[in-house]
Amino acid sequence: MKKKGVDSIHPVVMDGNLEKAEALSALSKASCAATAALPEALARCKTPAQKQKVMADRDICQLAYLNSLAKSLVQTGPLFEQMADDLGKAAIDVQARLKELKDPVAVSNLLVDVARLASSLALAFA
Amino acid sequence: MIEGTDLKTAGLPRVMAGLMILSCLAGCSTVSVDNAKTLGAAGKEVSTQVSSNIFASDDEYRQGIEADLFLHGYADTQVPEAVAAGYRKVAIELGARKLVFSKLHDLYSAFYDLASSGDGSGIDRSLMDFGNAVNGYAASRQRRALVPSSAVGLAGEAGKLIAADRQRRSIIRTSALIRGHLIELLQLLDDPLVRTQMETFRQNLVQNRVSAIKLLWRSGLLDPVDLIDQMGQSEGLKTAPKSGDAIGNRRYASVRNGLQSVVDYRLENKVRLVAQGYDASVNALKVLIARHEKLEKGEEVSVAELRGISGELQVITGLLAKHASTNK
Repeated sequence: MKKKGVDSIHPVVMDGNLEKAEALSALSKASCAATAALPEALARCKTPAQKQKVMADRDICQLAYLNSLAKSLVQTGPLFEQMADDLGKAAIDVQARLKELKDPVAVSNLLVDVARLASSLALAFA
Repeated sequence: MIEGTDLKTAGLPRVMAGLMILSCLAGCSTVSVDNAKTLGAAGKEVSTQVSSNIFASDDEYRQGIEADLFLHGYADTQVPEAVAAGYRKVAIELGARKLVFSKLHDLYSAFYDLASSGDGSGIDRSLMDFGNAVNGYAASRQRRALVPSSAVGLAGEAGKLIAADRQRRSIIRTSALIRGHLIELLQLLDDPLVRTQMETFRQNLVQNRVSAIKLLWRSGLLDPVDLIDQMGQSEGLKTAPKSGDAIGNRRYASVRNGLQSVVDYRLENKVRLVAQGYDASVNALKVLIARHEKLEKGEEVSVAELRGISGELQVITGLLAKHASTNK
């Protein structure tokens, strides 16, 4: 009977409906695991060729992850751009409100409100 | 027509009634300006810390790349151009997203300025000046004063209250605006793909450093004196002289293995901290949203809780930065 592989390694596609986040996470785990194994693996290598082979295998894992990440970032990038744009506009809007509170023109507009109230208060002096 | 009218004797109750109505009008929005200031200051701090906890810093990126260069050099090979280009591309793309948090910081700065813009005390002065100027004009035309001095003061008070009310209304509107944006941002950061993108890139950079440090440690090139000091410090113990040199001796192989377990644990914990920092950031945004709701309802905003979330974020940033600095 064929010996079962390492328990921690699971197939990336199980039912054909793997979410992008899960796929990216699996690729990252593979890349991190390959990097984490380097100190032990490199220490056991006897020849430069063996070390280079270990690094090349790890680089394949990391490249697969980086390429997938770069592709997925293109999808979510516009959402962040839109968010930054909205927040920028909101900050300008708030600054305008602040200016309005301090602006001499707004203060003169305030006089209109004061005049309205003053007219009702003037009854007190009648 | 009202020259010489004495408020003490004529119409004082009605003036008082007028002022009460005025106060009531101005006070209809019960939002606390001090609470808004507190929330504004906390928002500025949290937006900076969330950014530090979600994105890889320049130092983290540089050290991750340097560690990768070291690992390749150790294996007598070079970083493939495709891998190097992949890192650069991702770093640029993720770096552009930091703009969201810099804009959020700007928004909170504007909110803080709005809450700190005063209570209209400048306005009451200008209104009094206005009343006096009218009287001055009347005097120059040899007419009676148009506005009695008591009314000038009253207009000043009225202006002050209206200005304060406008400020409060602006604070409520702005708070609701920020809250809406925070909810959108929270949804974005809670998206599984976005979370995976942010977390995994940092984890890969951290893992590069962890492996490089482990390799150096295994090679016996790192001095464990500080680590031994830290382990004995709480009991008032210090590393014995020349222990650093002795640890390389075969006689201390078991001690070395023990220290290696501690080093491994600490390094692996750094990778876990990345996810913890992301969770704390998402939680901080949730707390901010809840505090904005409280502010808008005129309820007290707890400074302690805001300091708590800010502190948690600082601790995580500090732990990761400590890792970075010890690896320089």
